Amino acid sequence: MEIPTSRRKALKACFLTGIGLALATVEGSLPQKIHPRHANASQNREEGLQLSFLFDQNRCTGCKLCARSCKQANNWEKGVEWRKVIQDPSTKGAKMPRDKTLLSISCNHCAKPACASVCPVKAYSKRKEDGIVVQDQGKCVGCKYCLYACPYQALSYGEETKTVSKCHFCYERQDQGEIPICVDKCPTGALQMGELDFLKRRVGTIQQVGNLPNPSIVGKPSIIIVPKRALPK
Amino acid sequence: MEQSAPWGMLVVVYLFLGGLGAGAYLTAYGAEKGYFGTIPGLAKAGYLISAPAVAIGCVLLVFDLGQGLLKPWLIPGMLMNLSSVMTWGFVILSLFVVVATLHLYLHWKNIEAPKYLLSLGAFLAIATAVYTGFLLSVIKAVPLWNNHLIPLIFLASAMSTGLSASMLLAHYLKKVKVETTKVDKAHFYIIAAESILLFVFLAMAISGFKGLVAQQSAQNIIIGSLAPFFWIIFFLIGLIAPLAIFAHNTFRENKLSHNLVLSGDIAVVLGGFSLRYLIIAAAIPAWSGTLLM
Repeated sequence: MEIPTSRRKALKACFLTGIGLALATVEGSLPQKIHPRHANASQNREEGLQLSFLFDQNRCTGCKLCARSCKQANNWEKGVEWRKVIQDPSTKGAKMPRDKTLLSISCNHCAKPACASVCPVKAYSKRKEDGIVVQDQGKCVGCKYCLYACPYQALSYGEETKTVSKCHFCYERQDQGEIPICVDKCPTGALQMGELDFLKRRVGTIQQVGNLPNPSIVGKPSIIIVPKRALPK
Repeated sequence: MEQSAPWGMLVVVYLFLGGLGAGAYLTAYGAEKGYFGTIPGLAKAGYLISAPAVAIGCVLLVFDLGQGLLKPWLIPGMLMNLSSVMTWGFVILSLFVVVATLHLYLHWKNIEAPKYLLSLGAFLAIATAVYTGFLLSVIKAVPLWNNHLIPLIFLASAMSTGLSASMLLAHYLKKVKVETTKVDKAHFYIIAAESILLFVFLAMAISGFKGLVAQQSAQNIIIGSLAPFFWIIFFLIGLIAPLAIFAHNTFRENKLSHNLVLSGDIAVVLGGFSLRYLIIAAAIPAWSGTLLM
């Protein structure tokens, strides 16, 4: 880079650098959380809203704050895991976060939840207003049929309460206008949420990566994934 | 989320007893209709096994439920979801136990059961046996199970184990050597049908037609960790040995000794139990819970 030789040139260089920086950070380059109210883009819905998680594999560093904050906020009982961060074993030795391939996964609040269809006591219900699948632990008899039915293994059986529990998308927080704790605590914006139809329209998003189940045959899950981009070597 | 298999031995016993009770009822039904010739005590043995076996199975299921003993008042809630196969099972098994108990009582008192009750019982018995298979075959997330041949295999196995158990009990009750050609013939065809269905079922899984995970499950059964159990206890003892015994008595003039036929019956009951065990133990979820890109 040329070193400016006069004050005019130095000021010009500073001004141009400032403009450049401002333009570069305006749109899309910094993580932004999508609030459901902003994400609500489709106006002519017939079936009602379906909220969804969005996970960007390029932004996740594997800090597991999503799972830890969920554990703290929802008091997971021993052995129960509502959300987990899993890593492709072939990237286990990676030092830099960008070389790791990660996925943070919980209940995907499917459009046709297998858990709800097999549960004999109707402990699962799907909220009409936002598509959240809520499980009523008070109704659960602990037959564990849903543990076999869920293709994402999102349900956990707790040996202490002898019931099944799962992620409820922080529906109580959402009812108060807040976002789920996992999305809130994600420091890089890797885990986001929004309306499914809206998130689906984002370029480069898919619903299945690697060995995950085929979404079209397992009850239409509400998860959108931005897959890992190949990095230049 | 990486937990051990959710269902253990109690569910295997429950599925087995459900099938055994249903099969015993069908045996009693067949004996009353005269399909098996005249074997003293066969109908009585069938009725004696049917209701208690299914009832014990249901009690075991209650023990297996996490809340079965902690909050038993939640159990009637299992009638809530009519789209759940388990709810259907709850209804079918409850009705079956009631009808089979009524039959047992009528038989005990030597009162002739009304015809419609006999047919209703037979229908419920078939429904019970089919339900134990359907419970598994509707689970899409376990590819090995997601095959509607399982209800048919379980129905054949239920008829076979019920027939064997009833024959054993009838022998124990009456202690007489009887002419069993008709029973053996029926039993041969039931086991033959079961073998063919099971062969198709395993072939669908091992060929990869049901996907890689079902293939892995089938490999576990045939050449993997479950292989010794499958080949020795299920295949040789529980399937081939009784098939050979009943085939001999069906197609040859010189009949095998009654004791050998009865040991074939014991083998059938063992085979029926190990079939349920193998299918439950070989379940592998469609997604392993790991990320492989």
